[in-house]
Amino acid sequence: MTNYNELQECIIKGNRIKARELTQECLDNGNPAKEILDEGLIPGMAVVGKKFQDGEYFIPEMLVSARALNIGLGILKPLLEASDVKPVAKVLVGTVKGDIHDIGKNLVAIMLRGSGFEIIDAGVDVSPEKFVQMAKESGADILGLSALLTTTMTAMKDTVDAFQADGSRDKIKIMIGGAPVTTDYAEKIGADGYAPNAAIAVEMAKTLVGGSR
Amino acid sequence: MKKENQHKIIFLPANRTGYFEHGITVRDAALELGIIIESDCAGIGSCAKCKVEIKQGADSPTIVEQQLLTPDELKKGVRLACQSSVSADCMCLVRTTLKPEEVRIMTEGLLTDIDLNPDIQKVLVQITPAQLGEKYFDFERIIESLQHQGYGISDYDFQVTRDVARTLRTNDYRITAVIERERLIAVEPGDTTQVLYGVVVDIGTTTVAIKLVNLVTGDVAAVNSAANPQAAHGADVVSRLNYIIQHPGGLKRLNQLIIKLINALIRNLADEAGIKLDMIYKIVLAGNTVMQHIALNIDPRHLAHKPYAPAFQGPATLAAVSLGIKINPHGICYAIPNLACFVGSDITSVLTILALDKQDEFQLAIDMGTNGEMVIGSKDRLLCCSSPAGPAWEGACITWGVRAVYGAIERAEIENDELHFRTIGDGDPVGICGSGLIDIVCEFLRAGVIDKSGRILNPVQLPTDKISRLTDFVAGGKNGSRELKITEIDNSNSITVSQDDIREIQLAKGAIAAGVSILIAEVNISPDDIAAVYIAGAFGNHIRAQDVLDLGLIAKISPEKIKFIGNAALTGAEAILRSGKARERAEQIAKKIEYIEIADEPAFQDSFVESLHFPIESKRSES
Ligand code: B1M
Repeated sequence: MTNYNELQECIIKGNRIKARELTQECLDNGNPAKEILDEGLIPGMAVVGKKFQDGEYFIPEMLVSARALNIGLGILKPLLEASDVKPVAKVLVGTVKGDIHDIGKNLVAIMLRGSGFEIIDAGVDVSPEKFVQMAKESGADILGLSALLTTTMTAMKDTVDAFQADGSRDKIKIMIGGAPVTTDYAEKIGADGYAPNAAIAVEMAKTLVGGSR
Repeated sequence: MKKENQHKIIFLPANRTGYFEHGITVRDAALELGIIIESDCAGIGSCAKCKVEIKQGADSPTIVEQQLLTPDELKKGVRLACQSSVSADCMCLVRTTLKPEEVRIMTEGLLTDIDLNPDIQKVLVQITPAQLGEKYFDFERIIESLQHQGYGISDYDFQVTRDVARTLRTNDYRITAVIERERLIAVEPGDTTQVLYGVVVDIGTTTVAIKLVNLVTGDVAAVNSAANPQAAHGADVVSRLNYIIQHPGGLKRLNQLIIKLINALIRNLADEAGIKLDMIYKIVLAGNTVMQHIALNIDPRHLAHKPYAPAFQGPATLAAVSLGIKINPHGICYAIPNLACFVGSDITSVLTILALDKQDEFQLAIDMGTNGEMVIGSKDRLLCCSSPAGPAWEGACITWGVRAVYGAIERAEIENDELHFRTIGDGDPVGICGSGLIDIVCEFLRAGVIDKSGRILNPVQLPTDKISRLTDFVAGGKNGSRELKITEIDNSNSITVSQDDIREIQLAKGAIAAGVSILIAEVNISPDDIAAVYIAGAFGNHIRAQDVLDLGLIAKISPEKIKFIGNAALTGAEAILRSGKARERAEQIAKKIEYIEIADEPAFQDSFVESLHFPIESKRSES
């Protein structure tokens, strides 16, 4: 059995060059892509998430780790697809209409990707109609909405309503977050979940898909 | 006089009495009488700081009060001013009100060569009694006399024509004319030319600062500040805008809150200086664009969404009474012009007393408020932007953060592994204001207890030779994170700086640093080329030049170039009150300044993320 500690450590420290080398090395040694993902990259990213939540890591450290993660994922992706390994779930993420803050949303996306989710990023200032359309096209299981302004929180409600009006609300779980957002608000607008930070967003996403399957 | 359904309340020790509708909160009643009962939660009933004692006729305590007050307190009649309402005549003892000297506002700034030559003036007019057969219109003769003395009058307040006949005859035809620029606004009996006052107000999102100026001698008669009571409806301008958008009558409510506070502050200043409100003829308003719109009762809602269009730039000159401001009923309010959607008249004021637009070399000015507003300029170009820093500098969103009030830790220093700190007024420590917070973070950074990523290091991970007594300050905080224990306030509570607090500072300083780098790039210079950096802010004390560098607000430049100018917005507004020339200068600056919207700058985000770290080499290596 391969020891994945070193690969995990590369993700935690954000060492891109070594992450590439080690991922490749594991493959060359005949380890399955799925195992490298599940025992190397994902546990590494889980430590990063924990450190972020505990205040050890901040935005720059998360972004550095994300780069190392992406390199590893990039190498594994074609192999995972070829061997028909399915992601945990597909998550469509985006910042709502009128809002262009995306650092928080990106961190959430990073943590989800690092936990085996497939991410489709709709970007920023995304209208409710666009979310509905993209959800259909991608077949996403979860929609993750981010808003950083008190004034754009209302666009989250508009988005939930747009899914309702379209008749596709029951096909997707909606999770929301961002500095001004609260659990109460999520409940009020009929979203399925709220997460105060990127690490908890992962747990929430897991609960949401766990519940539906 | 007491009307039906009104109750009489006497506030002690101020000894002010008023009659109020049934059901008004004690806090609101106090404010009507100019008594500001401070709190942290702006009156929503969560901080329990607004304790008062109600002596007679109190209603029964609310559920909130029963939760927040001890049985002992309740027995003694202690109540929360924001919760208890008036249901009978009563007497109320206010102990928590801050005395003016307990509030620190940095009042120094650069008031260089601002002569005392205000737009508002008093001129003595002596005319002879009219003779039969002469041209004898009283009012016109006064205008004529003024013209003779070199004061051209092109406009007047019509009320003057109603007052003039009596005023002239009760005082031997000797009157004092009050003129604002070329407008005659009032006449007073006799010679009162030696009595003329003005006030300036800087309406910050978090803090409101005010100054009373004697316009005859040029002396500052009194200074004060208070928390902006609008904070109950949101900590920052966007939340306030949101409140206005979401609540019918929201604008009116926010407007009334600020006007009442201004009136209360003016009344206190006047009492302190021993003058009458009637002696004040002018009020000059500065503040960020949203605050100014609200104070002038102009709907600012379109500032909430792209393209963030303000309704109005200004300047504006209007009757103070039309805003409900209680100074002389003929008094004038001047609102300083704004510069852009999120760069307000507070910055116009700062620029008025600096000389950025007159130098060959570029200089930089930064106002570290909730919105970091900054300007770079030389004689060729003047350019501003605003960066969303958040309210950390003024103590909001920080565990033990407070405004610069009595007992706030305003200064801290580590010497021989010991932390020394000083509080405002040498009071018992109640929290940490902006300057104290910056000091603490920078000192612990330099000592190596916080590393450059902003992390509080875990003492057990440090090699033994690196452990100093300072690591004793590190304690376990909320959910797995660490915190710095600054000082104990009693057996169970310590003033701390948490890991999250440091993160807030990082976001705030990152936003400012990114804004600065965008300005520098836009004028195509390198940081070394900047000749001077002026830092303004209402965070308590000076921040040290070295702290500015260690925070990384601006890339390495020599510390001598950094100057701290305190609450320069208030000083600038004072200059505009004192001098017509300064007022003209402010108006010119507002016309020519350029604005960059950083939300549209693709470079912002990278620069912001890069600026989150502290550019400091710790004395100790990282673990
Ligand atoms: C799907 O499920 C989930 C689950 C969890 C989710 C989630 C989704 N999304 C987030 N989370 C959660 O997980 C994340 C990680 O744990 C967390 O994400 P956060 O996003 O909360 O946290 C991030 C990791 C870090 N935080 C941030 O990135 C925000 C930092 C601050 C400084 C900030 C920045 C950087 C910016 N800004 Co803006 N900005 C401020 C911020 C002030 C501050 N001190 O916080 C804030 C948010 N901004 C504000 C304002 C007013 C504005 N900003 C504006 C613009 C910008 C920039 C473009 C310059 C820049 C954004 C760059 C970018 N690409 O994102 C403007 C609006 C633009 C627009 N239409 O969106 C403008 C209107 C100001 C202006 N002068 O123009 C304020 C909002 C006030 C309010 N009550 O609404 C503000 C609080 C600052 C202030 N002045 O008080 C959690 O919330």
